[in-house]
Amino acid sequence: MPLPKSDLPQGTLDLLVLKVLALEPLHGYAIAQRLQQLSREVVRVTQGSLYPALHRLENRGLLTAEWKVSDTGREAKFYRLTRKGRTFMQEEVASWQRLTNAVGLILDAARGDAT
Amino acid sequence: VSRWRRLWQRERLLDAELRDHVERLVVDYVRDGATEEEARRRARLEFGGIDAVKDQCRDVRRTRLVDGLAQDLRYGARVLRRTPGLTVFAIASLALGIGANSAIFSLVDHVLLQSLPVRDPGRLVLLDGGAWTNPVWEQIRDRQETFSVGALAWADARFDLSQGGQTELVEGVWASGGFFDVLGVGAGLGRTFTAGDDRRGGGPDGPVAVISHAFWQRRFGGDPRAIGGSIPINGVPFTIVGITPPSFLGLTPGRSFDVAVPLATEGLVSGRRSWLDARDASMLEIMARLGPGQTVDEATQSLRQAQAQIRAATLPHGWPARMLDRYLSGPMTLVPAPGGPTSFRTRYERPLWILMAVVTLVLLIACANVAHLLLARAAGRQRELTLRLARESPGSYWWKVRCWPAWARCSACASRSGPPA
Repeated sequence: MPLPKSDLPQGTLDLLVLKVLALEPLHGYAIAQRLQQLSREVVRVTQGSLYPALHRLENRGLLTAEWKVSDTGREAKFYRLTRKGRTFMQEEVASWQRLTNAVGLILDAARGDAT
Repeated sequence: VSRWRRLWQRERLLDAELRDHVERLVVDYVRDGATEEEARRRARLEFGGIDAVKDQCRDVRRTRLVDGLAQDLRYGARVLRRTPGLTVFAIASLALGIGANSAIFSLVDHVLLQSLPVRDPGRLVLLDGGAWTNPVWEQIRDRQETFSVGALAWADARFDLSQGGQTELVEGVWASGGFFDVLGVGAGLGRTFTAGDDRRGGGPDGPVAVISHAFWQRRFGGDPRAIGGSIPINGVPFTIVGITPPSFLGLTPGRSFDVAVPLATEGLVSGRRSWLDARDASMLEIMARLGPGQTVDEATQSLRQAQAQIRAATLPHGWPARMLDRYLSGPMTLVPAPGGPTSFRTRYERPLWILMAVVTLVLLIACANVAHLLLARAAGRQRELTLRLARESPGSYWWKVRCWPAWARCSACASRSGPPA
């Protein structure tokens, strides 16, 4: 039974895409699949948001793209993280973790009060 | 061109990328047990509008470009507003330079570059040697078939259209009957005059006139009832029979005619001072149209066979014998004249080109001046610019880093070539 899907907070998709690509270069379809697998089917990205995000990141120089022959035998556009993208991702990850920690602390404290 | 090719290439790749995604969805659905058709339907459904996605991807680039441009324009406008004096000076000097250039160029174009707006101007030849008398023209007119498919003559004049105490001088043309037919200029409205109208005292319709489109607009406000109306030329009433097309301004470059009347009516207007029979009054330019396949030299040869007769029949009265000898022996030569009479061109060609060069120089100097001003200001704003360059987006960075040195180079070159006026 499928779990309810969660909406991604604004700007999170960029971070997730960068993180997935940090492991290996992938094409758009594989990125969507990978996000779905890694999040255990919770995160489902629509193509309408994935591709504009990829193009935006490419435009900002965080990703580069290359056309390569893929497993299907056709050419596909593989995205790869640039050095700038890697630095950016690390900063974003750190900042995300700071934020979630802080949110977690607040939530924990609030729970403590309630019990 | 390469810019469009790049754009097209980018579109093609975007399309390929998205199609690849859909294909992979289809493959996955088929693997899960769907039929090819069903898989395709579900893939399309899941992907949503492919064009909408494409549009969003394009927007990523487009907005960046437009934003950068708008930002630069706003910045430019702000700088210009902040220094109204400089702005006015720069705009005024550039406007003057550009205005002078376009004015002089249109003159050069009209006088030196353009062919006459007539049928096949390359076949027109001019009888060389300046102006000719009317008796010579009448001899040539009667022999025109022997050396061409048609000849014409005309003389520019000032016509006095004064009526009831109000003086009105217009640019007039005495034109032979074949003038419009040989040139191949039809009437824009009404009819042009013909050999039948070119009779002393007037043709079957009496003295007739053809007016130019510009004159028709100016004097009659473009009223078609002007045709059939009457205009007095030096007090003699002429009937307007037609209006020429707007493109035809007459044969003399740089001068546009208002009223053309048949040559033979000159006697009617000038009375006793008429030069129609004067053998020493050279008033007329004479042109002819070459026949198909006929060369200028062939036409000249044919004309020279009749030259002795023409000369003998038109000997000026009372000239010394020495000059008569020269008159009789002077060869008649036809020269190509696709742009009208060459005498006018040769007379004005050099001055016009010099004028053109001068105004071009003025524009260059204006540019140099503006460049100097901007350079001086840029030097004063070094700190501000450095700050802006450091924090602005790459797009405008490019413009400023590339454009300011260009300005500097231009003005450096200009100042080396001479002091600005």
